[in-house]
Amino acid sequence: MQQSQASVIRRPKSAISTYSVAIFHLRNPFVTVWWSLAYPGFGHLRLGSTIKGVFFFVGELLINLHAKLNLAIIYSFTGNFAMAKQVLRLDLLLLYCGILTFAVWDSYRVALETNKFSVLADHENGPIDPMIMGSAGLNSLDKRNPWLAVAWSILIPGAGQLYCLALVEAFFMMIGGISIMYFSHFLPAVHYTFLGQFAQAKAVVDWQWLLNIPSFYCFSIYDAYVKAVELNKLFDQEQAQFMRNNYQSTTFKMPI
Amino acid sequence: MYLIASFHYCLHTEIAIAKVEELGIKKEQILGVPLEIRGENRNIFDTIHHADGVSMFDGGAILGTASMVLGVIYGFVLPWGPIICGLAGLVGGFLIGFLLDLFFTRFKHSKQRRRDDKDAELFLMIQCEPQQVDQVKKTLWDHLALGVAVLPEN
Repeated sequence: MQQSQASVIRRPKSAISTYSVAIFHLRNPFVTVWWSLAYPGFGHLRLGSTIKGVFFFVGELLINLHAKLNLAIIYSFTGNFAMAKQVLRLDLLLLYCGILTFAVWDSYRVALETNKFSVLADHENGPIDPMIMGSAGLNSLDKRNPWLAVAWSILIPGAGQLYCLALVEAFFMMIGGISIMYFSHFLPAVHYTFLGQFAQAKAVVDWQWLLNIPSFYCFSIYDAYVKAVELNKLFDQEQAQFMRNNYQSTTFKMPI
Repeated sequence: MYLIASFHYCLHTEIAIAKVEELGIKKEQILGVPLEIRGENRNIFDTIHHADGVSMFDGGAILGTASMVLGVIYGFVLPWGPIICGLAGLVGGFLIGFLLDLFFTRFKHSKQRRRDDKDAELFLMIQCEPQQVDQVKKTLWDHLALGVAVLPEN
């Protein structure tokens, strides 16, 4: 019934494609800053700037890996400052400061910007496309259980994003997550830990890679939860529009 | 006769309407009243509690991640290794963050009732002939109506 009025909407609330759903919704800029600090790129992923986020993420991963920054962090936090100085490689180290601060600053800026667009989109209340079908796949708005998204992301980083229609991000999270797991020897360490062989678990892990795991895992879980909640809210908004446009006939005979 | 029913926003609601229309009820005999949901106002900076509905998760996720990193780091020297120390950090940090969030939300917004999942979000009013009432009523119940009322016509 509802015709696409794309050209008329100046500030759309959302855009649905066969591989993602982009939504303007309010996000706390400081939480965004936190995620950028935890891992440059995650703040942008959270805002829906997927490619930008992946770009920052890969940049930080490579620089960190080359400079052995994570290793130096572990040595510093455990009081072994001499070793920290010894493992650091200086070729790219200073560039890290730039990447980090730029990612933090830029994600804060974009967060404020998208919040403004979100307010304008809610005010304009333009028609929302509830589904799309194409040769690459099909996407449609429906209710998601946020805790199910959390559970999937705990099992496989990125699976919660897949559940919430974020195909590009899910692809990145899965490839990234599996790479980090593989190079850090995280899963063998889990295996040994559960068997009670703690010394072996410590011996098997690659510490430089292992320090990527916490932020990566937690972000994958957090992001899946938020995505599910926001998809649900978008669904509600679209269905309310559908009701107003189709089932509020002026000829309806009121009982009183 | 009038039927009034409450629903959640979900696909079943649309199917309910479609099925009711198949029973011979015209579009003009159906009135849909979508409710605005409490607590979704437009305030750019106080977004945690009102707008994005994740206030119970932000604090936990932030503190959980931070404590997990520390757990993995100190697992380097502690006897139980990085996995258990990391997990302990995650669970401990998440709980503390979650409780802090809960406390501040209660404290700052005690007057604002939190959204309850059982609340109705959408009302349908259907005008039909007396002999159609039973069928329409059954259709509404079959498609997850939260409550249905029948009202005689004046």
